[in-house]
Amino acid sequence: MSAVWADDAQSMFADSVERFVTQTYTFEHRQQRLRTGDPDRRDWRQMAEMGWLGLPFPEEVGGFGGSWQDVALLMRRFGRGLVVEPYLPGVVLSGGLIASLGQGAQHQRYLPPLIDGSLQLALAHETGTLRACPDGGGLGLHGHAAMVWGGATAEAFVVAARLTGDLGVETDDIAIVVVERDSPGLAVTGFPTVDGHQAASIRLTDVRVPADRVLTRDGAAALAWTRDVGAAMVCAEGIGVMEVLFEDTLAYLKERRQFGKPLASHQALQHRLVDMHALWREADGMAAMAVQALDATGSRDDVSARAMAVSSAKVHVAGALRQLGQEAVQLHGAIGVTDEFRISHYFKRATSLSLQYGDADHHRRRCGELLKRRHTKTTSP
Amino acid sequence: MNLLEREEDRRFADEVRAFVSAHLPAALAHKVGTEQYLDKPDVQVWQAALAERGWLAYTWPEAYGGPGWTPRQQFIFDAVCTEMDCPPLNPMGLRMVAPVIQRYGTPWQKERFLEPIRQSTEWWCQGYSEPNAGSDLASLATRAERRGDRYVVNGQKIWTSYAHWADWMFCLVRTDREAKAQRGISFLLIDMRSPGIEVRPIVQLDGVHNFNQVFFTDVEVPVAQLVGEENQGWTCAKYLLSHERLETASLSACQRTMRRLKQVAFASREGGGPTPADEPLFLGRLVDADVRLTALELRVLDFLGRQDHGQPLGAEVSELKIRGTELYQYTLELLMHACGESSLAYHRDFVLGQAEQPSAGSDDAATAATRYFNRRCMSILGGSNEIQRNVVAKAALGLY
Repeated sequence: MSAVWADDAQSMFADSVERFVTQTYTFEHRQQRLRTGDPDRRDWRQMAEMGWLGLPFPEEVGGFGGSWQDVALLMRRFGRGLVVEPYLPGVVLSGGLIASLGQGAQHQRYLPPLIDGSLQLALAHETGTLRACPDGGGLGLHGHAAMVWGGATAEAFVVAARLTGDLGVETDDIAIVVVERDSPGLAVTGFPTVDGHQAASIRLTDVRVPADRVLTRDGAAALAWTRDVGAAMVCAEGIGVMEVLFEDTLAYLKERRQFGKPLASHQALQHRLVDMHALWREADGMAAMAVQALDATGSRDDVSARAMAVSSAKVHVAGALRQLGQEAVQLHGAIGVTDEFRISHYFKRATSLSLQYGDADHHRRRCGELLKRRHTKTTSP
Repeated sequence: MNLLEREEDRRFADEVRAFVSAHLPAALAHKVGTEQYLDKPDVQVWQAALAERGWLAYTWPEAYGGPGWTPRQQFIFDAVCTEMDCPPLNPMGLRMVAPVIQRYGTPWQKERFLEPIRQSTEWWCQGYSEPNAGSDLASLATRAERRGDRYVVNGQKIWTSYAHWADWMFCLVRTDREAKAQRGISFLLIDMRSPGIEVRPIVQLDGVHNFNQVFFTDVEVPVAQLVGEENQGWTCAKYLLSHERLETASLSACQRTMRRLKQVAFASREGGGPTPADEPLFLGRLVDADVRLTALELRVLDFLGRQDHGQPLGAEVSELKIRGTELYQYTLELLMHACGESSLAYHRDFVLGQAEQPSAGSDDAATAATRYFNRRCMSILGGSNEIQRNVVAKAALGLY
């Protein structure tokens, strides 16, 4: 374990999460949950009782004032446990936008029920297809989003949309608003995702958002921040997933015998496992670096340093998730592609995480632009 | 990199920078920066300057004349020297045989050999590999027969770096042919001027002469030059391997090459025209290398932190050698691509450090291909990456 996770043992949430993931949220529990669903939201309410739903928010708004490192430690264990609750999009990101951009009444309406588990949120931020235009004192929303994580069960949506002027001309501004599920003009189609989670596609047709549901009309920086948090947190969760991919494969190679000897006695397989190990250990350090960058960007204004840290981490972690996921399945042989054994589920979650909040190419391009800016001398005209 | 987080570390780095600025000739720094071959006089200029300051043997314990730097300070020193294009120090005497003599040597051996190493007045080479003993080093066959107060050595060594510069060799020889492999090996210090020693150059694919074959015909070596007990030489050799684990990451080399790669990739061309970084696919690969370098730095820092706390590093540190050399090779490959087809011109004199500039084209292009070719050896030497994987698989992962 990298030294940067060193405060793990002291985190007040670490023990309780560890217990939850190893004793309550076992693989069997998760599989049962996926079969029968969780209409009473029992797991979610247990997380609320543990205080985890309030972890990312400042005490002034009723949260527990956890650092990003605290949240990341939680995410990492959720990765180990393949927890399917929409904690990141629903609590951390959606709740985070309300906490940081909202006014008193907005805080009052959404944060206490979010923290006590009676309200679920989801974040729609496909600003390529979501539009907001001025409508009286509020905004009118139009457009669609294909992949709103946690949207199947959310009671309210935090929506980021590109502002257009009266004549429909797009601006550079991003509006961030809250749209409740029963709003006229909002159609939500929920579906399961391949990794055991759930999401929704949403369509907005002239959805009227009154002024008191508008969080901001100048939300580009807040959205960028939110996406960086998302990217850093999927890296953290990914480390937990990788731990199990590696450990399970190591154990399997030692235990499984063919041709009268353990698979582990074959040099080709030993070498592949070493390569998995090296990549995982590097990814661990990179994820920790991304999380540290969030905590370090207190004033949120050295954006390029944070962006470089988060994007570099996502590039590396995405590659590691891909390699460890594929190799773990391969080295397990046929059982690696069954539903019954847990390794395929870790592979699927690894794959899912690598695609969320920007895939490797997206972050590669972003790093490239940052490097170009840093290394190109601009000549004054 | 979080290397210079503390004020005291920043002050130390500044102290090193000031020394380098004052003592490293610009022409030599340029030679290093453009990856030209450095001959013995080049390296000696720098080693002598460091020796005078008492900084050459910077990894040695204070009891043996080291400056008393912590592992972190040693790392910072190395990082600053790389940043400023200092010639890499010849490791054979300083970092390979000296720790063995300090640990296993007799009082006479310590007195005779350590100070000339510390002052850079004697140079060393390592006699380990043989034509039939590479990865399987313990099967080495160069034999040393005890005759009274001397050993008589017959056999040959290969891939002996800098044997043609060396005054002395530390050599693994077989002193007991009946014993099982490792148990019959002894560690001898051999004077390279002894009668019966022949050094033959081996030229590498880029034209550089660094490796040699060394032939021993009835070479007499006084028994006083046996280090440790007879037939206990493998213990000395293993002790050597347990040192310097972080250095195998080739981190300095990766950082230096990455710096040059960015310079070439982003530099505007004379007369305009696109830079290598304007090609998005190339920029993507550059990013990959940069990301891998960050990941390697973080891992090295993590191990350094463990060293700071006196914790053992564990066999997994061999992964640094695997990842570091593969990254180093990748960045050199990218640099060659960034320089383009003109890197294929073979500017032999410039590559060998015998001309001030190439007859055509940039300095970077003139060494890009040859350096890429030469450094294919990095994943092979120092314990091949395949052997390193075996080591991690066995000692860290318990796979066999």
